Formats: sequence, C-alpha cells, structure tokens
Amino acid sequence: MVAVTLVAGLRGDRRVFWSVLNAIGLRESVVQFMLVNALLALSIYLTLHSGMFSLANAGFMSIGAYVGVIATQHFGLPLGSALALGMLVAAAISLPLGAPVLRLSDIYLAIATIGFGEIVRIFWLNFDGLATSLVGHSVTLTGGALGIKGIPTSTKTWHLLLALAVAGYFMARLNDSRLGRAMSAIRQDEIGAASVGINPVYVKLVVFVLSAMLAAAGGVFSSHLTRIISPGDFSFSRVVNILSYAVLGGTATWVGPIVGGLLLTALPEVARPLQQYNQIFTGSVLLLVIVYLPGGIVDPRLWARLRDRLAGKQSNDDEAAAARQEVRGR
Amino acid sequence: MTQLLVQDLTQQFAGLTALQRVNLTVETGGYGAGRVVGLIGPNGAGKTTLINCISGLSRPSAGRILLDGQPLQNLPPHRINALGIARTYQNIRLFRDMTVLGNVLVGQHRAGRASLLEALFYLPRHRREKHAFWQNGLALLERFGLAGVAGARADSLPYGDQRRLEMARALATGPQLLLLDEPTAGMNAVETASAGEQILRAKAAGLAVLLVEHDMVLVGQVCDEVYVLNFGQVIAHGSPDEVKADPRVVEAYLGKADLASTATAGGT
Repeated sequence: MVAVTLVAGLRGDRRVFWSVLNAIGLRESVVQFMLVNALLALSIYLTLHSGMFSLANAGFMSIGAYVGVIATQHFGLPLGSALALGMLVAAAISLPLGAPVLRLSDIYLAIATIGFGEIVRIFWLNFDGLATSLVGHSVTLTGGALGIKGIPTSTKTWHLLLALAVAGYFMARLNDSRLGRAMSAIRQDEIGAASVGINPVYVKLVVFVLSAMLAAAGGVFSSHLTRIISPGDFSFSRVVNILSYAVLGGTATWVGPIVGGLLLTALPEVARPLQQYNQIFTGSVLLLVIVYLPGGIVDPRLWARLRDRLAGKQSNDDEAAAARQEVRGR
Repeated sequence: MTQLLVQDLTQQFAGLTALQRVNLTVETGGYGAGRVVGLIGPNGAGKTTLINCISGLSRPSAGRILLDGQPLQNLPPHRINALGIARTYQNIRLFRDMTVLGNVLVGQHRAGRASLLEALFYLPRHRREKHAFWQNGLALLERFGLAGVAGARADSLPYGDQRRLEMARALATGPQLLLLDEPTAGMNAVETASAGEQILRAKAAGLAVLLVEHDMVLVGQVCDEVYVLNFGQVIAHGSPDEVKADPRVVEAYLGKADLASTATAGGT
C-alpha cells in the first residue's frame, strides 16, 4: 500500500495517490496538518540538537498565527508576505528573549520558556482591551478568548510541501556547516566547545532565533488551515505535542522529527475505527516507542544494529549483551 | 615570542583559598624556540584551578593574568582560545557522539570564515574551507597516530587515544600556548612516552606548554623549568633537578622528615 501510494505520487497520479490515503483515513486536510506538525517538530529539533531544552515553540507558533492572520485579514496581504512578516516578528521577539533566558539550562530553561508561552497566550487574550485603553477607541483585532473566526483556508498542500522541503534542505546543509558542528559540540560538551573557540552564547541565540522563525512559519500555515484561532490553541499542551513529535521520531537526525510529526498526527486519524479507544491507542504507541526505542524511530544506531544483525554480524552491543548473559548464567 | 604572566593570582572559593598570590611565567625564547614549563604539586595543591583561571573557566578573586601584555582574567573561554591559548582536561571532554575527525574539525571552528549562507548553498569559499579543514584535520590525526580511526566515534576509542585526540583537538585551534592538565593520567608507560614525544614536538614547533603532571620521569624529560604548588602557593621554582632536590618539595610530597630518627633507624 505504501508502495502504491509512493508510485502514484511519483507518477503524478493524484487521483490514485489521494484515494489510497483517503482509504486509511488521511484526507487532504489531515495531510496538511501532518506537514505543519513536521515543520513544528523541526523547530524544536533545532534547539534540542543544540542542547537547549526550550519549550517556547507554542508561543512563537501563536505569534506566527496571530501576526499572519492579522496581516491577511486586516491588511489584505498575501499569504507569502504574511509568512515573512510572522517569521520576522518572531525573530524580533526571540532575540531579546533569548539573550537573558538562554543563560539558563535544562529544566530551568524549560520552565522559563513555558512562562514565555503563557505570557504570549495571555497577551493575545487581553490584546483588544489593552489596545482599546491605549488608543482611546474600541479595537477588535484578536477577539479575546473567542479568537478570530472565518479565516480563509488559503494554505495549500504544495505550500507546505515546499516549506518542508526548504526546511529539510536547510537542516541537511546545516550539518555540513560550521554552525551545525558548533551546535552538536555545544550539545555534547558546552565547556569543551567554549575552550576550542566556540562562543556558546552566540550559537545558542542564533539557533533560538531560527527555531522561533520555524515555529512561527508553522503558526502562519496552520492558522490559514483551521478557519479559527484562539489563545487556547497555543497552550502548554501544544508544546507538549510538538515535543512528543520530536521524541517519537528521534532527535539524532533531522529526519526523525519530520517522521515523528507526520506519524503522530496521522495516527489518531488512521485509528479512527477504534472509536473511543483511539486516544489509548495513540498513547500506547508513544509509550512503547519511548520504552523500547528511547532514541526514537529514526535512530541511526538502531538502524546500524539492525543492519548488522541482518548481515549476520554481531555488533558491540550484542557482544556486551552476550557477555552480561554469560555472567548472569554463572 | 609568547609570554604568559600570572601575577599575584588569588582564587577563593567560599572560605577556601585555592590559590594564594601565585606568580608564574611561561615564556618562549626568540627565533621560534618553544618552552615547556611543568606545574607539579600534591593533590589539591591548586594546579587545575590555576589552569582553569588561565583558560577562563573560573574567574580569579584577585591578581592578573597577561598574555603578551593583554589581560585575560575577565575574558570568557572562547575569547581566550581566540587569543591563542588551548587546553586539555584532566577528565576528558571530547565530543563523544562525533567522529574522531569531527572533533578536530570543530577544533578549527574559529579559522572558518564561510557564513551559514555560503554553507547552505555550497558556495566556493565553503568548499575550499571544508577541503582545507579536512586536510589539516587528517594531517593532525596522522601525527597523533589516529588517522586510521578518523571515522570512528570519539567515545569508541581506548582511553589513551581519547587523551591524544583531545591534545590534537587543542592543537587544531592553532594555539601559541598549550595548557595540558595531566595528559598522561591513566596511561601506560608506552602511551606516556608517546605523549612526551608529542609535547616535545609542540615545543619544537615553537609553542609554549604549561604541563600539569604527576609523572616525575616525564617532567624530567620534557620540562625546561618546573613550578611546585602546595596549598595554593608556589613553594619552589627551578630546573627539574633543582626542584626534585628542594627539601620543601620533598616535604610537600612526603611530609616533614624527622631526619634524626630516620638516620638512627637507618643506622640500626
């Protein structure tokens, strides 16, 4: 079935392509959300790959969403300009936020960035009231808790495919760049990286801004798919979802988060026949992956082990396991 | 010519004085002559603290550190490295998930000029730079006998090789002054000898080396002069032989000898 879909997709036979996907519950709108979530997963991959446990992604996504929608609905800008604007605003906010916050690490950074997400959410919630009192006459821009309704679904599947291809190319080339190597070095040993001349503060800030821009891009696209946005869409649970895409897919390579985003978004739709057990199924898959594949689905070491096993070779890990077995046997 | 001056350096950690008015000089001669200065002392004497102060990992409480006249004591580690000081660590700090070659490539980070955009679009400067980095990196690995494992993960190397790789990575940054914090800890005699050769080779290339070391044989072989630290103070300074004969040094390592009773015990 996967083969049929791929062949149909490659031959440009869109009817066959979509009929196969539809048959397993993946309508075009679902595929669009799969692609958006893959983009969001890449945004959190960037920071995780540099050793930063930042959870600001939902906040930057909401900045992209609100700025994008206001740009297209109130100022009549085309989606492309709204995308650029959303990403720019996110970058402009991430820079002064990152400078102090990135001095923190681990769980402290996570808590500070969760705080940022909440501040942004509450900002959109109270934006109209705040603007009204500042301007002096009634302003209705974000619509408070009810949000903005009636947004046209102007994001097309090819927009998302293009965006994901560009992001993927960026990630692939990043590995070959000085910045990419510095990111890995900082993740593995920040002090070691600093003593070979890498400025960790600078590299982390650059990565934080890039991650914010990518999250904002996801926000602009998704807000022009959902017809309605409200502050509640960008709460803490959103960033937990984004994090789970990256964890499920694996953060060793940039392919992992894409796979994780696609799979974890598709799963509830594919499992729709299970009805009320749907959520249990999705949760169980996530749990099983975390327990049995702690490196995620796309883990080069896992694949190398599988390849070795298929080739009949015993990898080091197997030897170690065999040795442990022997010790236990005695 | 490279000159490192440590002047009246004091480092206090919440009531503990790790270094007390330490004065030390590492100076290469003219005409490209290198120099190896040893730093010895019992455990807890403050040797690593001194290295940490020079490399910017800890900020001294008082005193000055000057490299060719420029003060270092308030600079962050990456700036100090940029001025030409590289170091290794007593507890190895390699980039474990990277390949052996990857580690020495990261070491050349600062030499790179190509921007992210040039790397993204594979432009000529990025390609040239990458080629040069690989060449330099492989040559360096060759010199340390690690070229054969260039593609292996750094943490898959045996312990002695990891230490050698860390020294290669430090040299990849193109330093004038190399700080080595117990580079032979945990090494066997053969590995220690080869580490000694590498230190002499760095000296021959005109580098200044500050070597923290416990192996007195190695110190005698490679060091031009030796400082002895005890309880955060310099208690002796001179050639390896002078220092070894200094009664204060013997006392620091072995405790105060009761000469009369030893003589009596020896006599009976």
